Amino acid sequence: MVFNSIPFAVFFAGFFVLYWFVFKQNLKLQNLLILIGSYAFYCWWDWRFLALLIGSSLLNYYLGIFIAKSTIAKQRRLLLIAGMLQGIGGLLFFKYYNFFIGSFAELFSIFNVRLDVRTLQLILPLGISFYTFRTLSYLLDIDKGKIKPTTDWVVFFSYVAFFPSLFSGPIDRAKLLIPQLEKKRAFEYAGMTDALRQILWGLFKKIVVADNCTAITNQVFDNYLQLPASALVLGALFYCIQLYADFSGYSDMAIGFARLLGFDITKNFNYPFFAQNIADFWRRWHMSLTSWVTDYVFTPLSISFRDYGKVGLFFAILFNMVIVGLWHGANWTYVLFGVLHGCYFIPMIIKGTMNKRVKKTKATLIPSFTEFRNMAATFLLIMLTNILFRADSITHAVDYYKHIVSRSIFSNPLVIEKTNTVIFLGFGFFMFFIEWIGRDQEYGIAAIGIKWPRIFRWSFYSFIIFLMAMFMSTSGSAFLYFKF
Amino acid sequence: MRKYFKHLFFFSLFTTAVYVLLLVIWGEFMPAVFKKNLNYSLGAYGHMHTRLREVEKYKNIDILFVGASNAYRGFDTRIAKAYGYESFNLGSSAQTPVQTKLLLDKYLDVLNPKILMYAVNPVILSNDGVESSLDIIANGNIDSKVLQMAVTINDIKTYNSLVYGLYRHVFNRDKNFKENTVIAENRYIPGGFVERTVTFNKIIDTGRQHKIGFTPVNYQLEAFENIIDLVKKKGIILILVQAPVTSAALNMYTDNNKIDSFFSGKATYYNFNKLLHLSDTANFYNADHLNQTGVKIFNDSLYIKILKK
Repeated sequence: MVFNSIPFAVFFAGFFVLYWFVFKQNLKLQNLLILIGSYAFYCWWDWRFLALLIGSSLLNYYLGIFIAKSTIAKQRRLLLIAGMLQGIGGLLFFKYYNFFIGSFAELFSIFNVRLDVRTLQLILPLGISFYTFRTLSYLLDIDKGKIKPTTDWVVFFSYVAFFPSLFSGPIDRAKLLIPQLEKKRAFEYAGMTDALRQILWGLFKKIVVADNCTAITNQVFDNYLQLPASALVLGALFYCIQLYADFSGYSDMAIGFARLLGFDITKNFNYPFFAQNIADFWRRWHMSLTSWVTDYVFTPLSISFRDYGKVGLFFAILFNMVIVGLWHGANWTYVLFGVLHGCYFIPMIIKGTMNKRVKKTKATLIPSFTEFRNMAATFLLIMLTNILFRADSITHAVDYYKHIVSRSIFSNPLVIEKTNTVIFLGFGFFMFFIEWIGRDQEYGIAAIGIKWPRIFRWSFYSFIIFLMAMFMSTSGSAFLYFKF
Repeated sequence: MRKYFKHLFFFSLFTTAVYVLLLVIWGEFMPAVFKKNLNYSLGAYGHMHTRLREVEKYKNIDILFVGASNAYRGFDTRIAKAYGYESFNLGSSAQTPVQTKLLLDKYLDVLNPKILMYAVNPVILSNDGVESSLDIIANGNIDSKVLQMAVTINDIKTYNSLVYGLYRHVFNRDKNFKENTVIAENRYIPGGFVERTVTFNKIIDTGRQHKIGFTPVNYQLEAFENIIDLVKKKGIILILVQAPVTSAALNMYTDNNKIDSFFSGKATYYNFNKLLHLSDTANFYNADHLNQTGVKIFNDSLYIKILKK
C-alpha cells in the first residue's frame, strides 16, 4: 500500500472521514485511530514484524519514563544503554549482521584463514531504520533533559508508528511530533488545500519523473559494459534525478498526508540540487537524517576531537558521513560513499568555510554565473558518488567509473530508448525548473497560481494530473528508500 | 470544513472535464511518442477491425476459433472449409480470457458453433490483457461489456484509450477508416485468418533464453472458468489446443507439465508441441508463429487426427 496506489487512496479516504467526522471531538480516540491505522498500514506490507514495532515502542516508552524518574546517574546511564542496545542492536542484527560477518570472513581470507561463518536468511523489517532513529533520539533527548517523557502510551506508540512517515521518514523528533499528538488538531481550510497541493507535487515527482527514469537507469547500470561512456554519464544523471524525485516526492506526500491530519512534520528536502557547495547540499538533502546524525553523532564527536583542530574536525565529519552512508544499507558501496562525501569537505575545512551559511540571494529566474557554476560543480560531485550509491558492489562501481573514462565520452549518449530518454529528461528539467521558480517556498508548486483566478489555478493542477495519467509508469515501482 | 469539501467536489468535476478535454486534444494532435498511456490502435497487424465487421455476416457455423495470434495465424479457415467445416476465426492480438469472454458474450449466440476451438498457451493466463483491450476498444464497438472489461483490467492505458475511443465513436471520427487487406507481410483472409508471406525462423534454441513460470492472474483465471461454464451451458464442444511453437519458445516455460495438466483438467486438450514434430526453421516464421507450410501441417493434423475422431 504505497501512497500512489488505489488501496492507499481508499484507506486514507476512510481514515480521513473517521478522523475528522467521527473522532474529532475526542483526542484520545483520534490518537487511538492513528495508532490502529498505522499498525494496519504496517500490516498491509508485512504483519510479521508488527510485534517488533510494538515491542520496541513498549520498551522505549517505559525506558523514557524510568530515565526521567531516575535520579542516580549510573542508573540513568544503564537505562539509556539498554535502550541504545535494543535500538542499535536490532538494526545491527537485521540490517548489518550478514554484512559484518561476511566482511569479517573476507578479511581473514586475505591471510589464508578460512572462517566457517554462517549468514542468516534475514528479512529487513520495513521502516526499522526510521522508527529506530525516532526511539533513539527520544531516549537521548530525555537523558539530556531536552524533553520530558510522555506518559500517554497511545501518544508514544503513535509517535513511533505514525503512518505517513513510518516507512521512509522524515525522521521526526519527539519534541516536534509528541506535543502535536498531545493537543487537539484543528481543521484549517488553507492548510488542507496546501497539503493537497504538496501531495500533488509529490505524486508528480514520483509517478512522472522518478518511475520513468527507473527504466533508463536500470538499463544503463545493467548493461554498462556494452554502452559508450556518454551513455553511462547520462545513466548517472538519470539516477540522480530518479533518486531525488523518488525520495523528495515521497517526503512531499508524507508531509502532505500528515498535514491533512493536522500535523506539521519535519521538512526533508530543501532543493538540494540548487546547493552551492557540499556542506550546503547536506543541509538540504534528507534533512531529518542529517540533522539527526549532526545532533547525536557529529556534535559530540567534534567536541571530543576539538583539541585536534582541523584534523579532528575532518575525522568527525568523515565518521559522520560514513554513518550516513551505512545507514542506507549494509554494503561497502555505502561506506565508500560516506568516505568520499567526507573527503569532499576537506577544502572547506582547510578554508574554514564549512559552517558558513550560503548567503541567500534574491530569487531570480536566471541564476547568476557564480550560482550556476557552484550548483553545477556540486551536482557533478553528487553525481559521481551516486554511482556508488546505485552500484551493486564496489567492483560494479569501479568498473562503471573505468568505463566512463574513455574516448566514447564524446559519442552520442542516446543509444537506448532514444525518444523516451529525451522526453523523460525533459520531465526532469521541468521538475527542476518549477522547483527553481518555487525555491523560496516549502515545495515546488506551493506558490504557483496562488494569485491566479481560480479557473486558471485549477487548470494548472488538472494539467499536472493529466500529465501523471498520460506518463505514469504502469509497471509501477516501490519507493527507493523503502529498502533502507 | 464544508467549504473545503464543497471545493474538493467542484474541483473533482472540473478536473474530470479538463482531463477528458485534454485527452481528446492530446489524442488528436500529439505525436505518438507523447502518448505513453494512450494507445488507440485503429487497424493493426491483427486485422481486428476487418474481422469484427466481417463476423456480423456469419451465423450457425461448425467451428469458432478463438485465442491470441497463434489462433488467427494458426487456424486457416480455408483449410477448415476444405475438410467440410464452416468456420470463423475470432482470434486477436494477445487475446486473453477476459477478451475471449467478451467476444463470446457478443457473438456466440449468433455464430452458434458446434465446436469452440480455443488456442491456449501459458501466456494467456498470466498476461494483464492490456494490449488486447486496446485492440478491441479501437476496432470494435464500445458498449457496456467493453466498459466492464476495462474495469476488470484496471489499467490507465485501457481507461485513457476507452475515453478517447468513446469520443471517436460518438463523433464518428473513424467512419472513413478502411483497413487494408494486406498490411506489411500480412494478408487478411475472409473468415478471420491472417496469412503471412512465407519466411523462415532464424531464432534457434540456445537454452539460455529468459525463463517464464506459470503464474496465472486471478481475473484471467476467473474469465477462463466463465468461458468453460458458458460453453458447457450452451452444449458446445470445447477443444483447447496448444498450437506448435519452436523449441526456443517452448523451452522458455519452466512449468510445461503443470500447464498441460492445468488445461487437460479443464476440457479436451491437445498440445501439438507433443503431437507434431515440426522444423524450428522450415515451419515457423518466428519463435512463436507458424509460417504457411507449418499452418498446413498443423491444420491437416488437426482435422485428420482430432476432428475425424
